[in-house]
Amino acid sequence: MLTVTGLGAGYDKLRVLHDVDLNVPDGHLVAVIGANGAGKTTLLRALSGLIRPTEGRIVLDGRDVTGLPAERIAAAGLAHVPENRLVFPSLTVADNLALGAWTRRRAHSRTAERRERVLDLFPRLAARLDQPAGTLSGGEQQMLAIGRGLMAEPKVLVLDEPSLGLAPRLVGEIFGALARLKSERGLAIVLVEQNARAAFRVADEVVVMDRGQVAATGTPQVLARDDRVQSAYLGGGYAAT
Amino acid sequence: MADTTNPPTRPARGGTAGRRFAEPAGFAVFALLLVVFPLLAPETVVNVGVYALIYGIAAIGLTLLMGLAGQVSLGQAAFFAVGAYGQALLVTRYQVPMVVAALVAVGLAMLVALLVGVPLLRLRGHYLALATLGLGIIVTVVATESDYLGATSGLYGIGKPEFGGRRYDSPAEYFWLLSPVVFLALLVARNIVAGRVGRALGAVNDSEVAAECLGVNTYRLRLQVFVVSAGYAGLAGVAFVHWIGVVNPNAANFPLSVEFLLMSVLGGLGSVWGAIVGAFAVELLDEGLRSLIPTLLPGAVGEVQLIGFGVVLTAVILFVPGGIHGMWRSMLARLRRPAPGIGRRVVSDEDDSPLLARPGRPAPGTPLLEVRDLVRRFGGVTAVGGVSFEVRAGEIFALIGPNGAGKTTCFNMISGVLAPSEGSVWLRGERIDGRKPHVFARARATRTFQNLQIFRSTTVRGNVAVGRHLRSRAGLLRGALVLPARREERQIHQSVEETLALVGLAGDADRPAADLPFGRQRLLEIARALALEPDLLLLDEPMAGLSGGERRELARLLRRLRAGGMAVVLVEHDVEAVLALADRVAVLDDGRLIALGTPEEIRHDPAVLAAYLGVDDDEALTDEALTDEVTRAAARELANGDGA
Repeated sequence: MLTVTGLGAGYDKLRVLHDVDLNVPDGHLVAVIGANGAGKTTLLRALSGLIRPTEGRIVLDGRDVTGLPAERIAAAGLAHVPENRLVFPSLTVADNLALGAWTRRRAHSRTAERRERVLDLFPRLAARLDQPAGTLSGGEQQMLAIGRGLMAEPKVLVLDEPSLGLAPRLVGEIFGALARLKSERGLAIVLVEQNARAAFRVADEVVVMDRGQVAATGTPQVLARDDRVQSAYLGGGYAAT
Repeated sequence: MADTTNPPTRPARGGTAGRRFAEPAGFAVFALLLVVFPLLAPETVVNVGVYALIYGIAAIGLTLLMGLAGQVSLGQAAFFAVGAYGQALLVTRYQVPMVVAALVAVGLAMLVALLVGVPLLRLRGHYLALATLGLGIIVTVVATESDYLGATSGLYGIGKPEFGGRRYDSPAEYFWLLSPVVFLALLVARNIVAGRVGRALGAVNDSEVAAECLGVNTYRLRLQVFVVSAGYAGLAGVAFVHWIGVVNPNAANFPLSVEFLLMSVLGGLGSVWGAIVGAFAVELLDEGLRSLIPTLLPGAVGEVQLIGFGVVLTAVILFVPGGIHGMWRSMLARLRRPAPGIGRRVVSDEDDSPLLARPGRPAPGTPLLEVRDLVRRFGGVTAVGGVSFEVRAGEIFALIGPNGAGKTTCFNMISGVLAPSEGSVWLRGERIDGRKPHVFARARATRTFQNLQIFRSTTVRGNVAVGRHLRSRAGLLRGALVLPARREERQIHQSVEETLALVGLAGDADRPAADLPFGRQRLLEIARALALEPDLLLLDEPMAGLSGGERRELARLLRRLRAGGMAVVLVEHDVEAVLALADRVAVLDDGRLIALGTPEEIRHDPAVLAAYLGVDDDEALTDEALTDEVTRAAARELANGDGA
């Protein structure tokens, strides 16, 4: 569904990504982990067209979308749920969802159906449709941000740290929903996450990034046995030495 | 570490190595220009130059007010008129010597500003702009109606200045007389911007709440800058009245205030240099337009150049919002090409020694912070409903609970960001609830923010330097006379380096703070708070956005701080980290404390398991199989305290 080869990108004079390859088939979830500054967020921004890649190719659903502006890539079927959620706080939940369907506004008849599917996935939102999004709790805002992305009926969903600042129980709910999206609806999902343990539980494949490059890739089962991955991302080790 | 790659540079407040040499050079070139201008330019142009210098002084004041304090004045001419009238009265009617009169006149303008500023600067928003607009009208009316002030014809007969038998009456002579005044005025303004006060006010413009939490008394600093700004206008008025020899009510007129505004904006609010550049640009434009517009629009009479000003002001705001100074800066930025690369994280060593201990800190175990029956209601919703706990010196105290349980609201009430609806907060036995965050900071207590409050317009180093605000003393006066403040600035620089090294950001010191990745912005906030050398540190979700390795480094840092005697209060969702780190844990649910105890006790508390981890509550679980696995794993972690 999403194939990335040799991707390079950056900001102004700063090269951040170097030669990144990524392959995300239908119904697969690829988790991207790595330290701060490793280029994870930049990778997502390049995928969704918020910054222009300087090298490489991005093929989405058989179509080359390299270098297209963000709104065209969104229309081609990629939804980006950014870091820190960024819902429209003064708009109601219902309006936030309606805006998510903007690129599909010609298929108006199906908007209601899509909304039902979002509310089925996140029942908490159903009770709050008329509430301003700013009054939702952090977890509910994250659900709304994902729901808004789904309203565009994407084929690929990319998420930046959906677990940020959420209580363990809500992390469970969000990741449960992601698992449903890939298995029931066959979505291809790219997930950037610092909560590596939670990410390993839902991922089909894990990509470890370091200084703008792919340092390791493999199934969660294999990578979890790697000592370096274990100590850098999975291990607890908070106990006093 | 040696291989930290070149930090990319963007000129930002806080000073980089390049600026240290560029600035004295700039001042030297400026001094040279002032000396040779009257020699090279024809007399009519020198005459324009005199006005540019006079108005430029007022514009410097306005640039300080707008660029630094973030406040707009539409009545800068009112203070200009107060200075001019004051000077005219003193020298013509009371025969006061010129220099003495000038000091009194400038003082008078500052006094008026103080009276206006005391009530107004407490308010946020555009009140100052409206009030100064009104002040200009009041001064005009008073001058027009008062016979003492000469009514509509004003005061006249003010002589040209004479020093040592030399009369400064030609444009060139007066230009040279004013040059050292303008030079000093600019130098003082530059020192204010570059020093401690300027840094603090810059921070206020980026995030008022964060600056307050680091001990910056926003109101006081804004008031000071407003008064200084009026002093500049008053000085310009003095210079004006000695040049043209009369002053009438037009001096307080709105068009003149707009002209000052135009000078500041056209020159660029980002630097005090902008005011002088803008003043020359506007005055030369004024001359040009006066002759140009009547030829373009036959029959145009009166202040026709104002039409042109309107067009120029609009064009500047649309196309070069940074003004001439902003254009200059982006040109320089394009010339400097830093090497690509990301600042590498400096790996800290395996050192567990105590950190930031200080003599005079309360002994470990003594009560430091006490929260009694804290309640906060928003409209009909009770966010916090009667919470009490105590934090002792030298402990790590964690506050956990579901999203929306009231943890951050508690932090806001403790740190003075929010006033409680009921209850009280005591720090070292002193009641502090409802006071401002800078009061909290002065009692050596500070915090970080869940929604980051980085000072985005400065560098990483500049952010941490604001944290040193209370540990340094240079006020407006000492900062303006830069020499005594120099030593202090060096000390600040040194301690900022040390603090950055603690969180592994030493290699990023000169990067713009806004360019840091999210997780490292969090570390920057912690460094900024540590720069205050607090006894009590509140951290709101410090681990969020950090990778596993970074979390371990942070945990080590917190332990070392505790060993140094600091009390740390932690709001955090990383339960494993909390249980491993904290001495005591409080659990909030729905605004109430449902448990308080050692990690061991909390780990086995059934109410906590139900409220926080959802083990016995699956009403909202969506994917049975997976969510069960996730919660079971989380519960296992909670029960064992070690990982998978």
